[in-house]
Amino acid sequence: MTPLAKQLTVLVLGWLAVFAVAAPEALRPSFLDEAGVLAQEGRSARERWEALTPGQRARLEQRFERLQRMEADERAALEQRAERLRSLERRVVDGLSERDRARLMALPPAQRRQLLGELVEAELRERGQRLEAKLPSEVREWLQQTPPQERRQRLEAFKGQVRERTSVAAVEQIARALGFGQAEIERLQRLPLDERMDKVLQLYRRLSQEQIERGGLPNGLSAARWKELDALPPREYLAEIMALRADGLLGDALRPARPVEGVELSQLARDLSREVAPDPEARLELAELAPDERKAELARRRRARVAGLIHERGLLTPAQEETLAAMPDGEFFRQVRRLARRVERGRPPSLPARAERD
Amino acid sequence: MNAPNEGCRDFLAALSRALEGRPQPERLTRLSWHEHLLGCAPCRDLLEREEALEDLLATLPEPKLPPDLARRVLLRLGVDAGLDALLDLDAAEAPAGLAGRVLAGVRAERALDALLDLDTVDVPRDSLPRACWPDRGGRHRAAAPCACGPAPRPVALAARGAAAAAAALVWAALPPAPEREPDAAEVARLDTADEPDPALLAALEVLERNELWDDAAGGGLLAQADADLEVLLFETFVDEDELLLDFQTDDDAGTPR
Repeated sequence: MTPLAKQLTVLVLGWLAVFAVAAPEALRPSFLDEAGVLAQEGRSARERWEALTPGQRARLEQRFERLQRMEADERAALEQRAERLRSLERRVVDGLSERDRARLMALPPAQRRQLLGELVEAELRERGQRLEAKLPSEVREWLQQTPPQERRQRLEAFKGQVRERTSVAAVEQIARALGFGQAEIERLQRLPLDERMDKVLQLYRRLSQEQIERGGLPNGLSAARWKELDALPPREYLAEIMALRADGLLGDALRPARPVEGVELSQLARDLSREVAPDPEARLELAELAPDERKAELARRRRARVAGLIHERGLLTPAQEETLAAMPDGEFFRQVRRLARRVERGRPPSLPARAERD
Repeated sequence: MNAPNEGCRDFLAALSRALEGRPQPERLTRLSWHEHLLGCAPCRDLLEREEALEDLLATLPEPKLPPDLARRVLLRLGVDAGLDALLDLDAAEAPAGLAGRVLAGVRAERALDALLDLDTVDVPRDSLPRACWPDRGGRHRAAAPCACGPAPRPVALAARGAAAAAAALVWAALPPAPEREPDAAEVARLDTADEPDPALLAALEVLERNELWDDAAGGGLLAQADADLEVLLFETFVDEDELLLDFQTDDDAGTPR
C-alpha cells in the first residue's frame, strides 16, 4: 500500500468513526416530529421518552425542573392548557375526512407534524376570533386599550361577570323556549352558580335536541354521528354543538330562521361562517408548499370565497365591498365574522365606518 | 389489590424501582405525581404505606458491622494466614525477567513514537542509544537521521495513518472482552442510570408540548398568549362561556361607529 493510499484509508476510517458517533443525533427527526408522531400513534410515555435523543431528554428534564419549582396553581394552569390543547388536537383530527386523515398520515413525519400543528393553530385562532366577535363592543374597546400584561386579569374578571349575570338570562331564555313556567324559571335562576351553569347546559342540550327533532338532521351530520353526539356527557355535547354551529351546519336553536326582505339571514350567516372557517382539506392539498406560502395561498382563497359570497348575495354595497377588499387579512376576516354575527342576529349587514384596528 | 391491570403493574414496577437501595422518601414523593394514582385507590394506599415505612427507615441510624467482625469470621474459617500472605504485596517477589520485559516494552513504545513523530513517552536515557537521547525539551537531539530518529514529514504522516488504520482494524477484529457477572450494586446502578423519573414520565404530555414553553425550543403559541389576543381569548373562555356570550344583552355585533 502506498503512503497516499494509507492516508486515504485512515481518512475514510476516521470519517466513518465520526459519522457513527454523530449520526444518531443528526439524522433523528426534530423533537416535535418524533413526539408528535409517536403521540399520534398512541405510544406510551416511556416509549416516547426512549425515542428521544439525549439532547431532547436534557431539554425535557430542564422543563421538568421548572415544573417542579412552580406553585401549585401555576402548574395546574399549565396542565389545563395542555389538556385543552390535546382536546383541540383530538377534535381537529377527528374532524378530518377519512381521505384527509389518510393524506395527513401518508406525509413524512416532519411534514405531518408541521401540518397538524398548523391545523390546530388555525382551529385555535378560529375559536379566538369567534369569541372576539361575540364580545360586547365596549369590551373589545378596552381590550384594545389594555396593555397585554393586564389583559388576562381583566378578561378573567369579565368572564366571572358573564357567568354570574348572563347565566341568569340564559336560563330564562332557554327555559322559556322549552315552555317552562315563570315559577320554575325563577327557581332555576336562584340556584347557586355551579348548579345554574349545569342547568344551562342541561336545558340547552334539550333545546338543541328538540331543534334537530323538529328540523331534521342538518346536512353534513349523519344519523350515526348524531347518535354518538347524543350520548356524550353535557360539556362534550356542548362542545360538539358549538362546533356544528361554528361550521355553519347547525343554526341557533333560540333564533330560528327569519327571512328579512326576502333573504334568509340565518342561512346567510351560516354560509358566511363556513366560508371564513379554516379549511383543512385545502391546507392538506397545499402540503408541498412552504408554510408561509401555504398561509398566504389559503388566505387568498378564503378571501376570494367570502368576497364572492358577499357579492353574490348582495350583502354589502359596492363601496362597502371595496372598503372590505382593501383591508389586510386579519382585519378582513375580523369584519366578516362581525358581519356574520350581525346577520345571524337579524340585523342589517354593515361595516364600521373605519376599521377598529389599523 | 384486585387483579392489577397494566396501569397497576406499571406503577408497581416504578414503585419497586424507587424502593431500591437506601431509604429515600423523596423518591416516593416524586412518584406521587404518577397519573395512575388519579384513578387507583389501592395503589394510592400502597404508596402511602410505603411512604410511611420509608420515612421511618430514613430516621434509623445506618447499620454498621462490629469493627472486629471480619477478623472473627476469618478466624472461624481458618483462612486468615492465607489471606494475609496474599495481601502482603511487599513480600511478593517480582517474576523473573519482569524489569527486562518492561524495558523492552518501553523501547518499543519509544520506537513507535519516534516513527509517529511524537515525544510523549518518558524513556530512561540508558535504554536508548546515546545519539538518540531526547534533549530537555523532549525533542530528539540527533542531528542526522538514525535508526530511531524522526522520519521525513510525508512519510511520518502516512505511517501515522497506517498505524491508526491498523489499530482500528485490529481493535475491530478483537473478540469482545469476556462478560463478567455485574455485582448487585452495579445492577442497581445500571437499572437506574437511564431510567427516567416516573414523575417526569407522568408529566411528559405537558413537558413535550413546545407550545406551552417559552424556552429556546418552545417559543410556544400558548406561552405567549398574553401578547396574542386570539390565543388569550381561546385560553380564557371555554365552550360554556362562549354559549353564555350568545346571551349577552349588550350585543351590538358590530354597530357602525
